[in-house]
Amino acid sequence: MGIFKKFIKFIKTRGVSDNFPKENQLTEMLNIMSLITAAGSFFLLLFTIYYTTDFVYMFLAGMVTVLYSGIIILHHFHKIHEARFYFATIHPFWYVISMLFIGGYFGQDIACCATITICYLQYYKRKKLRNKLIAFNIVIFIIPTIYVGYNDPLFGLHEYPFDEIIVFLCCIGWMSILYFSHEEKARNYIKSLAHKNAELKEKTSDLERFAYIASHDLKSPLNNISNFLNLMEKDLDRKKYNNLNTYLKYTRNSAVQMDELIDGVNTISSSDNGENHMDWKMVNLNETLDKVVMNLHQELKKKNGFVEKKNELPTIRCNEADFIIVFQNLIQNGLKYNESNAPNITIDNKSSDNLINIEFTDNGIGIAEKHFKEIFEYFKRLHNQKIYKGSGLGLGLCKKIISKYNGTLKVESEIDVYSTFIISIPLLEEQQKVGPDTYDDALKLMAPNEVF
Amino acid sequence: MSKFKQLIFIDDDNPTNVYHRIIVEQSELCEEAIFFEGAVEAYEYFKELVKQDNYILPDLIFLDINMPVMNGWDFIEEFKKLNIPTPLFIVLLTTSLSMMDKERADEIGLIHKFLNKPLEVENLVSLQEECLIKS
Repeated sequence: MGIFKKFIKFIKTRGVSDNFPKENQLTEMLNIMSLITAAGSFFLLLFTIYYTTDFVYMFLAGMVTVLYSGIIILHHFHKIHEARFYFATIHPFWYVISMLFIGGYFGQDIACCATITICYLQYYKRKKLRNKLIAFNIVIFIIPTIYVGYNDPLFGLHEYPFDEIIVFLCCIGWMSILYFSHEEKARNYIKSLAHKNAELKEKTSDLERFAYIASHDLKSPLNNISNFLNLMEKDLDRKKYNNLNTYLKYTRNSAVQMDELIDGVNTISSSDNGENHMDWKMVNLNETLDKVVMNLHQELKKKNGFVEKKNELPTIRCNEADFIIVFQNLIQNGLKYNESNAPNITIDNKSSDNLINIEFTDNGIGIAEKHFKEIFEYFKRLHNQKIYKGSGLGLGLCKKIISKYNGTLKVESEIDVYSTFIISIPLLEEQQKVGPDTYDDALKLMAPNEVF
Repeated sequence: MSKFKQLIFIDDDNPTNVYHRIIVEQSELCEEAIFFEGAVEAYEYFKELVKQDNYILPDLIFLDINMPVMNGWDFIEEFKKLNIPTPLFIVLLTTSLSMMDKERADEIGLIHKFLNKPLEVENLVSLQEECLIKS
């Protein structure tokens, strides 16, 4: 039984290649259909040899075997397009020739009809060619049928009761394969549609929440600006000038607060673009870290902070700007939420072959366990603006960026001792390759289950 | 018209507190106003307050809803647990009224009113009239 299965699998996979992933399903189907037909006609051939001396019939049945085996052989040599074209032209043509030779009782009508059905599938993208082939098939069937209706076939009328049954069964086989592969395709479509729908729902509700919070957080400073301007107006009316500077200060602060919030919102929404994996390059994260530390030079100096790297960071395929944002945010947080005289952020690379794992540890104020999930939410802050300024967007942004790479961002912490942020990104095989991107690589990443 | 003896404001936004302080001064309707920049501080204040023998409760508490660490709703929950005998009314301040917030407010008895920020002198005047009617 195992050998039989292996044989079927071998035949099925002739011509299947990674170069044309979209074609593979159809190629497999045609292989199996050809196998069924070749086997059927071979059986007829043997039967005819054993029980009759009908050489014409043997020749016809033998040719059908050869022709359908030919499809499998063509696939084997990767002549996919030729194989399909012949399947739709030469093979039905041979049926029709057989009609002229020995009459129409060979089940040619069923076979031609089935071939036309397969034609729809083979050339679903090239409608003009498909229509021409179908027309061709119809014409080459009708003309000899009419001829044979009024004249004797060339080698006389041959009729065996069983051959129609064999053709009939083969066609049922074809149609069943067709149906089941379509059913599977439909199921895949529905699954992927449901998945996309869920994603969309989540994105929409995220967007709504985001818009609500953003507008709220913008309204607050805006109100303040308006309030203090009102006060200024009233005071000016009363010719009271001593508070004006204070009012102006608050007005300006609120304007700055709004500006920073809008910048943050912009950064988040623009980080959504770049789902395009073809922009990714091999990036040495050590160089990325150096760039970030240089950017933060002033801030580090002001707080007497320093960034320490325990070991070398890996090189990965990515968009470098993404990791500049993540590293910068994590280091800035480590510096900001820190009351030590010598704030420090240590970066530890714990990556393995198939997992990127980088930890950012600071000696800052720490985070209570009950807040571990909250801190990654947009606009969520744990402190008053007075103690620590901020918009509450940094960690949410980092998490979003890392999830673009199918990774996660987690935190471990102890109050007043330390906080560690852990970046985990699983590595696909594609990531490991060094060298130019190929279009097929990108295709593989973007379209895992495709239809023919 | 009698003045408010004491008003308490709880809001994490410093400019808002500054503004409200000025409004209270200009209204001349209040003898003492206390400002807290966070619900936690305010809650601690009340916790200590009720331990004393004779304590003065504010006439009204103005409470912001959206605050980090402990928001307005959390504060009310904790505050209720203190079981302060004299009825005390809270005015919720928010930058945007939402139906959900209103419904939630109606469920909690302590809340007298829902107001949009910022508080203006007119608000204080009408609140004072309402408080007189209530007492």
